[in-house]
Amino acid sequence: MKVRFLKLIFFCCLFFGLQAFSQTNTKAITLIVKDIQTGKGVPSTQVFLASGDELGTTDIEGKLSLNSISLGTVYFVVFSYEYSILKIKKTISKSTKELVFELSPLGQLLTEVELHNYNRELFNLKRLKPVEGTAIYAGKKTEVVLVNQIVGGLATNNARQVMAQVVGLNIFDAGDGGLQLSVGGRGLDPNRTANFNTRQNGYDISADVLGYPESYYTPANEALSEIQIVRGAASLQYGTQFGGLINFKLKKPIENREVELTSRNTVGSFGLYTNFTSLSGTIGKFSYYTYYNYKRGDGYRENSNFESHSAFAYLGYQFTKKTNISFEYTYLDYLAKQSGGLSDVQFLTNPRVKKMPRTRNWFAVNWNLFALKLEHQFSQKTDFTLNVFGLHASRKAIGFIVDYNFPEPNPFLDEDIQNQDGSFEHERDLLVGLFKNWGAEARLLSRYDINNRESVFLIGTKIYSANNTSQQGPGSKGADADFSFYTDHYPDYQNQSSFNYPNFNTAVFGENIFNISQSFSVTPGFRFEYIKTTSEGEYLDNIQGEFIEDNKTFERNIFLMGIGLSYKPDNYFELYGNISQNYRSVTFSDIRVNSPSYSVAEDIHDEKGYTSDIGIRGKLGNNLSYDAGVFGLLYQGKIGTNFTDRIGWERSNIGDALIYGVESLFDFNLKSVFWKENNNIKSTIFLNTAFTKSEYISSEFNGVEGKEVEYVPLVNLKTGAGFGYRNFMASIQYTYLSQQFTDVTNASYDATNYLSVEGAIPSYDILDLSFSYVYKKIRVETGVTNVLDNTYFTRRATGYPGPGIITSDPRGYYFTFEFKL
Amino acid sequence: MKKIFYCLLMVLALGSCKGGSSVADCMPDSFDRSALLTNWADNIIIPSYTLYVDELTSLQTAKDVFIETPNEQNLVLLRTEWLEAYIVWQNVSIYEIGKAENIRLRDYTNTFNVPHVKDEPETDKLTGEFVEENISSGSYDLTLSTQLRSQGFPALDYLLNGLGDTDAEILLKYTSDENAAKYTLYLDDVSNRLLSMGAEVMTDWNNGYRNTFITNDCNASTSSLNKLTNDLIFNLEKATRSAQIGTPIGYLGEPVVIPEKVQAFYKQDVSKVLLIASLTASKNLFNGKHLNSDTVGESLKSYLDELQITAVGNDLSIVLDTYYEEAISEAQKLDENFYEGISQVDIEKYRDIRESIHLIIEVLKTNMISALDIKADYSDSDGD
Repeated sequence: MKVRFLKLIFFCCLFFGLQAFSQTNTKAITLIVKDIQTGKGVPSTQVFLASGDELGTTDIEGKLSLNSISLGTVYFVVFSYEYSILKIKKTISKSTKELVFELSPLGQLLTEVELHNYNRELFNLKRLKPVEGTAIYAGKKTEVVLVNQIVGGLATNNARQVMAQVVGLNIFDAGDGGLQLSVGGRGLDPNRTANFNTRQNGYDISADVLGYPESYYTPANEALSEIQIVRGAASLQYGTQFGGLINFKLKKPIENREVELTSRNTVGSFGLYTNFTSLSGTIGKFSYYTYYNYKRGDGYRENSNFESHSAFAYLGYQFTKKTNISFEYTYLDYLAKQSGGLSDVQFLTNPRVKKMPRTRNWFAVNWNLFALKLEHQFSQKTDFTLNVFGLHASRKAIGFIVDYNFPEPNPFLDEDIQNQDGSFEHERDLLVGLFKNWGAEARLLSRYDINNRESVFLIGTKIYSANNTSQQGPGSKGADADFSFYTDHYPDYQNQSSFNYPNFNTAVFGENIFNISQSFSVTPGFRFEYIKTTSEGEYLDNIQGEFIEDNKTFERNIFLMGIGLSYKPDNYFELYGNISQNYRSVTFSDIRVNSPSYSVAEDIHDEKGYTSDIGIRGKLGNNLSYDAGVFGLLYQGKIGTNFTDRIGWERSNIGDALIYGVESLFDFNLKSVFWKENNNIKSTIFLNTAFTKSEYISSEFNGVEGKEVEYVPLVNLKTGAGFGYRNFMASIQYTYLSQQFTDVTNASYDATNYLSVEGAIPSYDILDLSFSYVYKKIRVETGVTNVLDNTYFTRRATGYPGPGIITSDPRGYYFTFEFKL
Repeated sequence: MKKIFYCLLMVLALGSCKGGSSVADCMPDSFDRSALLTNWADNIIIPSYTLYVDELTSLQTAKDVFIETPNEQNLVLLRTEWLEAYIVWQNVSIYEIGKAENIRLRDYTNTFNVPHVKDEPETDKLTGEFVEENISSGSYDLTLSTQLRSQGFPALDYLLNGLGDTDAEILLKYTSDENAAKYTLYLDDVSNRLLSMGAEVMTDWNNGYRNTFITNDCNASTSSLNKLTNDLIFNLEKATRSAQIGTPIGYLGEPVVIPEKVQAFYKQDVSKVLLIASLTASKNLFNGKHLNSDTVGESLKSYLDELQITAVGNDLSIVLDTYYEEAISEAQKLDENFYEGISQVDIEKYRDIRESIHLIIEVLKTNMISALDIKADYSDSDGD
């Protein structure tokens, strides 16, 4: 089967490869961009087709040579920061050798509002592109957050504000300065963004893509240029998760300067201080972008202070116009104190409560990411990228969680007993995870013609090898952030285990855009994966008083398919639809046994399913852009733990769930209605809504079938308005989420609950205000978050950092001062 | 296009509102769960607590009399009151919900052993050793989790029955012993705490918790029926099967028989009475039988009957009732004195009674809770 499959791939490559070299009806041409006043060439000017395809950037003389361009009438858009945007129609005949574009200078430095409008226009031009670099987005639901358009929440890494225009995101507002990003889409658990394949500049950043998909590191928002999101149909080209892909695109080195320094300092409520300093520049063929980010804060609650250092460096070398190589290194180190979770009663009495929450629980993360990227253009038609990346990281957590003296420990009732001399009675639980992995992903994208229509073929392969470990045991009885094991002192400690998780994965994937007509395209794709998930180690059996070995290996081949359709009669309207298979690999915690009363079913397998979208997107006139659609997600073989007939517990695939809904984003541009002529005004309104329903359609658990899936609010609404005049910008944003259940039996909200980790999250709403002002090289930003000062929470943690309610921040303020040199 | 979209949106919104708020979602079937909860609360749970607190009050009085005049007659009286309260406790032990769960009534009232673990001698220590440690140190805080095994009925068992071989010897500890004052104080502390905990829970039931309990009649993990059904199974598994039989005979883990781990080890001849009381309490709650009356009301039994659940060719409720009966009659055949019985190495019959109780648990845990659509909520099934 495998051999036959590989043969197929081979022939496909050959076929498409041949196709790539036969083209007609095009010709080579030179574009020249000039300043209309001086007549001199304008360098670094981007030239687009009206369809959004970028033709390239002009050289130092203002010239751009194209190897092939279709004959006939062509609409061009020419864009350079110090000039007005030029939109022009040109006719290309067989005799045309060069085309001249003349740009009118703007005469003065752009105001912030003009810059925003510019970027927006440029973005609108570029969005919805079916192909970008070596990735195919045709027929998929894609969303892009333009970080430079965001007015508030950058320094605080506030995902609620930064990702406000991403549809249907459920976000855990943890109030930890954005150290941890927890977002989920379409009814998937937000915890540590584990249901998304999370990447930075195209490479994986989570602890272990398959076995431990949690993201402990996410880049500083202040360093981002874009956040790209591709929904479930991303399963073929990226990770296979149900959520899809989140890719954080960091800023590129500035092109026309050797050094640009940007420094931002922010102070905020609850002792927040952050510094973000970046250096960026291009020296000949060499370019770099690097930043350092410091964060500290006391947190809203007692015992929730944190401190973090992160740094990033991008070094790029442009060998030739066609070949670029870059190296990236990312560093993160943070230590956070965790005050534990609350019961409803504790939360309502005083969310800042000091007594019950933990006073000596700590969490530390150290993350080192390396990535080497080679980009090469074989020809105008064929692009190649190779990403080689590695991770060396650790995650450590120590703390008192529950009191094991009780047969049924309870996080809310159990007190952390302190003796009269101030020492603590109990040793703390220590969990240390080490992650070492590397991977490589190569992609080849080629354009070729079928019946004179351009088709696009993508083939890629990925290798991923991980060697992670986790160890649990007794920590010290002290209160400090001491992450060493005290097994010699407390050999009888309840929870002791030590596991290695070697994991190996290879994948081959491909997609092809077939342009059936001028406006209709079909994009089928596949992904083949070989995965070997291993867990080997031992745990302490508390009844026998000895360590028991537990070794497991799961080896499998997975074949996924998908198809996307796109009907795009013009650049202002697209109807798209897709369906693709997804799966979530069994994670290490699914297959590892750490208690004698648990077993893992012989036939436990990956969770599988499908995601599908049907939607429309585009622009109505100049004023309204929209993206609206319905989606469905079938989740099969969700893993859970249930009784076996021997009355022990067994972890197995226990049920299926269906999640479906309507999502939409509308963006109205009021400026072009009311202040059409005034380029110094910006005024927009957006409405982002998701209505999502979910149901467990079958379950081996009692009391679960027919119930709703956890963390799926029926209504998820974000709406806001932005206003700008010259260098002043303001935005207001309102967020509303309806009630969500947090457990499979749909335990309802109970204000008198002081015992249970379970219970619904009541609906909540939040209002945020943000302002920014730019004066020459100086920018100030300020804002008020949770203006209504609502007491709310977005999460009931079952483990770290709880268990229990993790409170969200009340009203808060921040102030950022930025200067550029 | 936009209009179509908004229509779609409206339809979906309306459709989901209808589904979300209806009561049908919260109940898995037509059975009136609140009637069951009312019967349990009014005719079983609250009367049990009332009786239990009455017994503890009598115990308290007897204790005061004994402390005032420590003589043999008062010791015998105090011991009698202790046993009566201990027997009623076997009912109360099951209802670990509300205030009882909050203050961990069961753990602080009746922890008389933990399962043996190899190389962990702490697991084999007896109540008497913990009590003696506290008495000699003179400083103890009975509210701490480290003190579970040095208080409650087991501590009273030691203080009233275990301080000497004869009553005269025991009396010496409260009169002429150098630590007499400390023993007296400890007896006072343990007894006071037992009463105050019991009274606190009873007061809570009488001051509003009853209504909270009855109205929380959905089918979620935090609903009353789901929780108390889990409590019933948990109590039968942990407090009855494991603690009273499994742990002393070393059923699980390293096969070490430690007969000293039986319930009421120091009194010795009442272990069987307490076991039968425990099994009967469980059976009565299942059947909805009112406390100290032959009247039966809505219960798990009538719930299963209404749903017409069968097993092995019979009504499931009858199967369960029969299993309970068999376990009780099996228990009747045991020695009055489990310590002696188990010490005599002939522990086969103790294994048999364990099996009989296990059979009930097995049916409750699989057939019953799945018929009633109740999710099991505790995460560990070991311990004996």
